Amino acid sequence: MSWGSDWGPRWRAVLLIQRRDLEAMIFGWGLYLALALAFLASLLILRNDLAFVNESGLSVFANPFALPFFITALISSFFLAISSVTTIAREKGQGTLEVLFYGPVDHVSYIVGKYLAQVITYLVMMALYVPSFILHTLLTNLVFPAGLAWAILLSVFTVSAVVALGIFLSTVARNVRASLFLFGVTTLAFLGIQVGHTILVTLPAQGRYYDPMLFLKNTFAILNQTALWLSPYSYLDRGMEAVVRGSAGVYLALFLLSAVYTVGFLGLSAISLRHRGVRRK
Amino acid sequence: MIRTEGLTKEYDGFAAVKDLNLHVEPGEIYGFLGPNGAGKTTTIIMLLGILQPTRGCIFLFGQALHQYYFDIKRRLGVVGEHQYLYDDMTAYEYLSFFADLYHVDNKAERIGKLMEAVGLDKYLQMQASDYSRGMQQKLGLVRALLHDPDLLILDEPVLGLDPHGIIEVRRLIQEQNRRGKTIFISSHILSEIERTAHRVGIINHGVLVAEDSITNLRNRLRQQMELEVEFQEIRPGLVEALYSLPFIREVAAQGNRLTIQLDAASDGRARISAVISAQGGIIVDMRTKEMSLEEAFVTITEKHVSLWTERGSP
Ligand SMILES: Nc1ncnc2c1ncn2[C@@H]1O[C@H](COP(=O)(O)OP(=O)(O)O)[C@@H](O)[C@H]1O
Ligand SMILES: [Mg+2]
Repeated sequence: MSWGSDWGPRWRAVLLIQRRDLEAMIFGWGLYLALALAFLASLLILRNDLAFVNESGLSVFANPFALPFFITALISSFFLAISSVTTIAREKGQGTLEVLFYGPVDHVSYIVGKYLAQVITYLVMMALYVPSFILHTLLTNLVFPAGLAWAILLSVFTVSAVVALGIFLSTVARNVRASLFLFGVTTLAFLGIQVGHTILVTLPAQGRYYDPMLFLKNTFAILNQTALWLSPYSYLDRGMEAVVRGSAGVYLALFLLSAVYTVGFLGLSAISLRHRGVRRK
Repeated sequence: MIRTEGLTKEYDGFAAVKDLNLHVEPGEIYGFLGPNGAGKTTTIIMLLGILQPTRGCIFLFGQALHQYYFDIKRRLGVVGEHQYLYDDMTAYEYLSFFADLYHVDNKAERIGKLMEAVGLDKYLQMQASDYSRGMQQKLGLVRALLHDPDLLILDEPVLGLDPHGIIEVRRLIQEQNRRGKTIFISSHILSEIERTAHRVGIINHGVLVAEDSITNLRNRLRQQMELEVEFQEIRPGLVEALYSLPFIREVAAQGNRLTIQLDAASDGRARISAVISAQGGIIVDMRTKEMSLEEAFVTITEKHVSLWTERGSP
């Protein structure tokens, strides 16, 4: 495998692998299920907000679309994570991966093709979702906030990071079940740390001199800090916050971080695929 | 076209392929022959860069694969041991996908022509995964031929085909060869490639035990003869005495019976009888058997006899 040259034929392989996956996605049902869930959740939240506005008599509501969009992006990235974590494992289990490698496909083109298919699927989801926001603003006199556009842009990058992590887990696992398991464990670990930290922070300190709770709190604080950097799910969370607060620095940093995360995990995926082989086990 | 130097693959100390030096010349049909588990697929998968060798080098078209990966892959047509198909594609969609991957012009026409050649043109719209085993095998071959490759690497391509299918595939392979294509074809059944291959390499337990033209191989194997002798009892010292004869290659005892391999060129039956009676042995029955090429192949591989020792030239 040569890394530098050969981008012409390699790009051809990337596009074909991407196209095939994208077609499978568009003709499958998972995408529409995720979209329907996202629509439903957004609708409920927005209705709730509007009811609140009417009752309280407030005429201004800061960021009516922030939460619905966050939920949508979260559902989408969850769906894409699951689909990317199963995709390579499935092709390997079917044996079709080996057949691709008989021909002009190498590890890098395969990984990049898989990745692009997922990210383009996200763009398709947004293309279907955003008009519904705009429609909603027209129907309800709410203003389409500029911040939302920024949030959507950032979400493409954070979803990328989630997909890259999913693809990496997929190359490590032996089959679809193992990769789903890996994904579940990883997600639970990230969530567990976040939840654990939140709970512990709210608990009062007890002992005066030596407090085991303090130790636990500190440990979780460190874990949480680490997870904050390692978990691509947290990037979107913090990104939304940054958009709402209008802190451009944090926003840009998260942009960059997501990009680095994506490239890093895609590279690791190519290496892992090469190391673990493309043959059915 | 294909050259390997000291190609070796070890799995936890077990060598699936040992120090393999292959030479496949441009324009020839090379039969890669060996029983199940001999190391054929392992070798082929290494040739394709899918499995990393433990040791050794591989050159395709005179070049190292990792240096000219895409150039080389585009000139290769491969039919693997198993036909893995996407379960959501019709045969046409499957072929169309690979035609795009290999950058094939006029793909619809090309697909139609090749599928017609293997008698599958009526089944283009059928789900590929619903094809019978034999049909899948042919579909794999069509996929491998889509881009008109210069070198075909086929891993047991007629496995599971009916006699009619075998003939069709053989014809297709020969036609490709007439058009100047080089073909590397593996099989565990000699008769399958005996008529097509110009040269064969016989691999057994990961070791190349013979490499020659079919004609030479046949001549050499014809020179072997098998003698089955039944005794009242086998006296001690008899087997050793037989080995002292120069034309004896192998003696195997089983109960009161000896199976003796000897060079057929010199009919040594008279001298064998003499040795036996000198040892005080009493012959109950004696039969000769000239080995067919197929039997010779089985003998070579089952008993792990090397043919290199009597090879005239490398
Ligand atoms: N991944 C593997 N791990 C361990 N042993 C293997 C592996 N793949 C193949 N082998 C062994 O290597 C030998 C050669 O296998 P193979 O190349 O498939 O033979 P053939 O294709 O000639 O039937 C066999 O003994 C097989 O069990
Ligand atoms: Mg095999």
